[in-house]
Amino acid sequence: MDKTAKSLLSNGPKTGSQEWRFMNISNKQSHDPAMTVECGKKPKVILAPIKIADGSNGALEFAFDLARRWRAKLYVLYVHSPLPKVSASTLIYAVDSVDWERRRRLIKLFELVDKLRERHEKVYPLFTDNECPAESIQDIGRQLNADLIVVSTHDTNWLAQMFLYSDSDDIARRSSVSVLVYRPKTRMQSLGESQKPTGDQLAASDGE
Amino acid sequence: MKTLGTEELRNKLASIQKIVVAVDLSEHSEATTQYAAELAKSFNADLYVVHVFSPAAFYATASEKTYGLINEECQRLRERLDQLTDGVREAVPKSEAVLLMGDPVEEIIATARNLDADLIITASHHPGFLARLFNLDKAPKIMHHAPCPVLVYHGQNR
Repeated sequence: MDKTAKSLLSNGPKTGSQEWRFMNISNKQSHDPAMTVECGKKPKVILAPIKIADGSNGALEFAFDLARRWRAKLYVLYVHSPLPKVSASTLIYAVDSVDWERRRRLIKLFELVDKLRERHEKVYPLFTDNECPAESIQDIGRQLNADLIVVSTHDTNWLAQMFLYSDSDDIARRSSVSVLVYRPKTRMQSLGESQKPTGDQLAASDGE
Repeated sequence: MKTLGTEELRNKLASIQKIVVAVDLSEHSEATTQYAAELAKSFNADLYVVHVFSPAAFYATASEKTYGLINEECQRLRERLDQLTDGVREAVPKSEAVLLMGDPVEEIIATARNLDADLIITASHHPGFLARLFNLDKAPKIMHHAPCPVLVYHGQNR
């Protein structure tokens, strides 16, 4: 783990905004306005939030590959929900474990980034506390002047799509930054029965 | 022991060989197509500029002139789409204009499947709740049903 992570851990937990500012300052040199990417250019700053949906590892790998290919900076963001969903009576016992869990995730994030840095040096960790990941991701994307946010998605039914939607949907809809919604590619062989040609269609094509 | 060459190593990275960019031929389409062309260029990918024409409004007032009107509209859209594609052909020689008829989401998804596309690029211009309720914004639907990653371009908002 690098020095930044160690100093963060030794100083104890901070609020999300303080911590975010701290990490942002540590990378300040690389945030000159000249790096701002105009419309139609290759992305230079990519933000990859992790753990916002199942399968976000695929999205991170994809984002990492894009960053390597474009020699872009990749910010790996973890948005930590500060309060657990427990009853009031058990909350007092939960505080310690929440703090422990928070540290554990912070360490995991830094370990992950350290591993990625072995293959591409422009990878940076971001850790923030926020109850609303979608909002936080959009804000950070704006602050970083990111060119692309890479998120993963999971399938939901039509009712959820209409009224509830996932964080990925929310980000893709509202963000002022371009959003790449990652989903593993479906191969042609995995098409459903409905998309395969019917007997009538085959007969028609035979007759032609 | 076999050592990977630079080219082989590059191929092991995210491989995007075919990009479908869905455009509504509005004023934003040019920026979306340019963006898609930049990405296609960086991956040396084929670019398909797709527009789906939904003639439902014409069918609602069906008359003898309906087919003539549809043909005229198709001709106009074809010219606009060709113009858009020609604009990026210098950057991406392997770019192609595709004009389809039907439901935009279904046709785009079907095209992506048939082409075995690696990425769909679309833009979102209607982020509000009402737009979602009245189904104006196609990007979320494409996102949910796509067979591959979808990039929602918001460049014009920046």
